[in-house]
Amino acid sequence: MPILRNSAQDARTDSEKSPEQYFETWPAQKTGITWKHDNAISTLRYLPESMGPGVAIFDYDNDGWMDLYFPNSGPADFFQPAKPLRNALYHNNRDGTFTDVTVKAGVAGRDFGIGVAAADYDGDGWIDLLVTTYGRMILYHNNHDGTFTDVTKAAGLDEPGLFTSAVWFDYDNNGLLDLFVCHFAKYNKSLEHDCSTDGVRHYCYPKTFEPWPSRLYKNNGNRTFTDVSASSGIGKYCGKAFGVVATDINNDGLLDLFVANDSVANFLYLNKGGGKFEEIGFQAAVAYSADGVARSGMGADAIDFDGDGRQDLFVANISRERYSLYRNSGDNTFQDVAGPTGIGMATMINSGWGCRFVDFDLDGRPDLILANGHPDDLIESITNSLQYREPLLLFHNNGNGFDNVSAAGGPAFKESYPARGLAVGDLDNDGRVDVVVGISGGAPLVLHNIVRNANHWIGLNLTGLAVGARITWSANGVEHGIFKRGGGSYLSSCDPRDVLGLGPTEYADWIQVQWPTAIGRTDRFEHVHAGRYYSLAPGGKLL
Amino acid sequence: MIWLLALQIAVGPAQHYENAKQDFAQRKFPEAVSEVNAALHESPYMVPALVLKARLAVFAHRPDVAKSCLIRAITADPTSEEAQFFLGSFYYLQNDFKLAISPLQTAQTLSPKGPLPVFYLAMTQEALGNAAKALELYQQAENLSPEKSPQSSSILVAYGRFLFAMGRFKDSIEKDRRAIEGDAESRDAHYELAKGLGHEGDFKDAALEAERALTLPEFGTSDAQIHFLLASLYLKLNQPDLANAHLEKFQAAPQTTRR
Repeated sequence: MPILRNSAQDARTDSEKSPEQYFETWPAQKTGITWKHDNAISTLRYLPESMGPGVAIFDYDNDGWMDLYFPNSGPADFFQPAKPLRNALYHNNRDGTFTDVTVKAGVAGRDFGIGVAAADYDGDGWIDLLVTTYGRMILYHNNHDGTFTDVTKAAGLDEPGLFTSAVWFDYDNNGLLDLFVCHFAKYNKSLEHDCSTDGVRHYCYPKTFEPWPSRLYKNNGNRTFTDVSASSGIGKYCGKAFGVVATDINNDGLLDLFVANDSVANFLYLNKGGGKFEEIGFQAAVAYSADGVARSGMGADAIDFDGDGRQDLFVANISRERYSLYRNSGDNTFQDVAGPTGIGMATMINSGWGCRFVDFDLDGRPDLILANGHPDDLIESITNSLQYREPLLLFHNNGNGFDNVSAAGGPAFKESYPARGLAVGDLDNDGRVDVVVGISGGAPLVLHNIVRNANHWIGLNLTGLAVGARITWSANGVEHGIFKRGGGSYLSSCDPRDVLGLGPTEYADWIQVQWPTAIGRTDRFEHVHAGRYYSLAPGGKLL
Repeated sequence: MIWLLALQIAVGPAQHYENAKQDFAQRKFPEAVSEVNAALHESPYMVPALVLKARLAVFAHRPDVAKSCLIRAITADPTSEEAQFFLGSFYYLQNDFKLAISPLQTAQTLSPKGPLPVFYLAMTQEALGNAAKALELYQQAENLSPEKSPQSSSILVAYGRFLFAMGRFKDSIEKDRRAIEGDAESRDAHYELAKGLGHEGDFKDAALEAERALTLPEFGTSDAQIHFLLASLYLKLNQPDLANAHLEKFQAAPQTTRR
């Protein structure tokens, strides 16, 4: 018995250690992903050139393996590609390689692609795709046979704009996924300014553009949508929306929206029920910095990082602003704890876009990965203190704050990139969450999680309506939880499955799933063995 | 004519420089520019005059002139602590933090007991995100400036602001209180103290400090910042009318950004 106890203690110690290396890079030669983003960069520096691309990790063919989707630039009033550009869908071959199936699938896109949000909006069990663009957004319906159909017009989503991130979530608890789409500033080619320094055009600071309202679309349940921006209250707020996450900040069973705006105050839309939202960003202390400055928010995420049962918020801002980590105080207000948790100073000179909390080392606590890069490709000609290409950042959640473990991130963390979108997902179904980063004007970066420690995991695939579900589990008597937020990061869509970190224990004492309000039930399972993915439908068994 | 020429020679570059210094101190900038140009006309590598011209150029929003004067001054005399310090602080103010470090470090070496080069080094390291170095340098700057004065108060305010950003709120409040002891009229110090107290949950005293800051002359902290803070504090104090009044004033002011 003492030997067993010692083994357990050793394992626990090992599980608490920060890994020596988190990721290896899977190069294009290995993955077969030859697609590259074209940022359409021009001498006149049109704003949308600096925004993309996003990334989606999702399973389009229901084979249980995560596939990849990348939006690309395309024709616009300021850009006519010399050769045709297209988005890319890559099928996961289950061996670390991927096959380009874009043409067959019919998802090559149109207009100037920027971001992507994947979800099964019609509840048919197959994941569909929304592509955001400068132009008209695209809704691709999954035909269940490896192909998609552009149903944008029929769905009532055929609207022009400069759309960035989007989130699928059920705002009215009727069991159907509704859609919020971030709209950046009022924009077209004629509204561009000459933002030259020493005779050289730079991307204009977003303050030069007029803010514009984002959109909320209600799912009618018949594959069409109704624009409820005005009636919901969301339409009256003009912002410059880049990032969005849907979460429940007050645990009332209604999904709220947090929107990161660039150069104007962030918005926190509190869901009041009855289809109405109230913007409480200022009252909640998430709109401005402590000095009343509207920061340049880009990526956003939500997580209960400190395990107190309340959802906290995160924003990736531009250089010299520090990123924000807003701890939920439990009374609809927040405190920015980026400073005390170590994230503030570590992000002082970075400009952040993609951002995601996920448990990379399976210790049961969410870590944080950040994709960075200054929006102005000529920033180095203005100041020698900032760089266009910036390194990725990785923070390990130590239970009291975050340790910057970027040095242990792996080879990719020693390089610098003009990174934008970021999605996380388990590409090889080994229970260790991988990362895909969209690079402006370059090939995507695929980071394979190679953390090897004594920690165990359980994968959970909630079928049907899952955004808004609360998963709790106990491992070795320690309780953990994940609230299934909608959206998050920047322009991107993550693996819809969840990986529950167990630490050194080989089974969960119990797992409980509190389904979204529309489903209104809770399922609980005892003594669940680690090391595999389980599927779960409401009221069903772990399969 | 001979008499006039003799007088001009008698004035000489040193006298022109002294005149320029006095004019600068009295904020008579055109006169100061004229005098400093006269000094440099006669003595093109007169380091104090070059530094003064650089400082005047900063006021006139001519960073190109300021930079060339300071580089000329350092070329003429690399051991000039003043020239090294002003070049470093010039780079700092231009957000060229990496370039600021070397001249500030040289100034620190040349004048190890002077708090200003260390202070600017601290702010530079903070701007570069080097928290540990910044912390050490702020402490050094504080140690080198033990007297109660507006200068030491400015150092303490910046130190306190840095500690606030690090989440060390109690330490931040202690620096702010000492800054007020050094300069009771420091708007920045009262404002930072109000922020710290507010963060620690002492909303009532925080509001008092912020109201006090609002009555003091505006140099660094803007009215809008204080209105924003007061709006937040009165919201916490459950005084919605006051909160709304300050919020309206905050929203009416031009919005600022760091970018």
